[in-house]
Amino acid sequence: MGGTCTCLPRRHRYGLYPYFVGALPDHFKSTPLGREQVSREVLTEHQREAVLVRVTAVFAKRGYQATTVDDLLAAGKVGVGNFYALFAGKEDCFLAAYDRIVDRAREHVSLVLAACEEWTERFYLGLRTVIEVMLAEPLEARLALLEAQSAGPVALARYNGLMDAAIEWLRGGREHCPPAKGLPGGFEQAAISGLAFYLQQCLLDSRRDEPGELFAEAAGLVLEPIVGAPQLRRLRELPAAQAL
Amino acid sequence: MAGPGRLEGQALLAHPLACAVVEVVNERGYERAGVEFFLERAAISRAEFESEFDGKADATLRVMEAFIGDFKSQVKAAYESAPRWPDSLRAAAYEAARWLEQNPKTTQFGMVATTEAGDMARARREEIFRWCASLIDAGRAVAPDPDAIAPMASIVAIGAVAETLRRQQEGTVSADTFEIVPQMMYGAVRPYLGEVAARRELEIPPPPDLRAGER
Repeated sequence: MGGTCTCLPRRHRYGLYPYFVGALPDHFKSTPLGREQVSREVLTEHQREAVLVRVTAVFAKRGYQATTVDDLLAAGKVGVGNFYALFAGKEDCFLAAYDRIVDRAREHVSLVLAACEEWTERFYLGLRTVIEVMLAEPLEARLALLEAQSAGPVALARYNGLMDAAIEWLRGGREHCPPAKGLPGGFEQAAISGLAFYLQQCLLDSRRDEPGELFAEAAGLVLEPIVGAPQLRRLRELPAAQAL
Repeated sequence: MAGPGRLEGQALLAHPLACAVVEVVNERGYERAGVEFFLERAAISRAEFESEFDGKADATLRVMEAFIGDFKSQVKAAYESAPRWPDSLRAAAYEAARWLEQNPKTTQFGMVATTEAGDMARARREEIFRWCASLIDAGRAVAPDPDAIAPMASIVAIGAVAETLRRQQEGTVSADTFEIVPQMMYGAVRPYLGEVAARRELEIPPPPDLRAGER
């Protein structure tokens, strides 16, 4: 070994390495150990995130009511003092785990919808993304869709708020889609509530539905009355890359 | 499982303890509803309670089961009173709405107050919803193209009812139980018979109350 790399043109070399390694952003460059201290806030946030990832499985598997603070300490690999420094208690820990899951799902949906303006395509792709995210992370979905309903009034209010936001989003279709005119006033409430209930049943039964099939059925029941069958057929023909 | 001589079904519903369990769990929440509150409300002794029940969870579950049994028998009778789907489903839906309106405390108990009562209570709730979903899915027998109906159709339809009732009980959605029946029928009928038949459901008046004289 030794010598400079000759498999890349000269302009791509930086010493022994291609030039782009030398051009890494500053925050990726190594710094001498012990010279710069990571701030307490960053460490705390990192620890909090790690604990939330671990306790999500406990809440999901044992259920909120049956989960004790001792369970959370063991799963979170954190001492009593640290736990109470991070959270006010079991409920606060649950709410933080719930918010983390919902925020991550929202970010995922926002990314998918970033280049999409038409309401029908936005709802179609948004629904698909939510279902894919849920089926990919069943423990997180179980916490957010099932346990949130029995974890006290604050968690329940957040869960209801999430459902209401989805209902309002679907209701927006009435402004854009002629077939939606004349639908019963409570259609959106019924459609979103019914779909949420179905997903809860999948989680309770630990069923592993194929995301594509589940989504196709859900779109037929929830979206077809709003957009009409021809429009739904058009959406289903969206290129896979765009749909994903 | 109930032991020999233990209360169940209509006998349990007629016992003061059934009413006491429902009221105390509704008022205090399941977690804070101790057996002592049941005894005080029902005016029975601890010995009498312990001769019938194994504890708070057993009493709560068996009261829940007794009410579910009553609900199912009345809704089933209404369903069987009409020979053809969706008339049978409509009759069942209105009977269910009547039962829920006449038993508001029990509805709150079953839909909301017992969500903290653990997996067994949750399983009982799921069981009754699945039974109701089977009444909806009977629409396959009269559907023009049964193979085209999404397997999830009946669960989504009954889920809409369950979630609406839950929100109604919480007070986060204002809906009259009778007024939502046509809308729920729309959602239940559409996957099986199509849009035209579903919209017809929005105009059909409630069937007569067959048990009006008994109530």
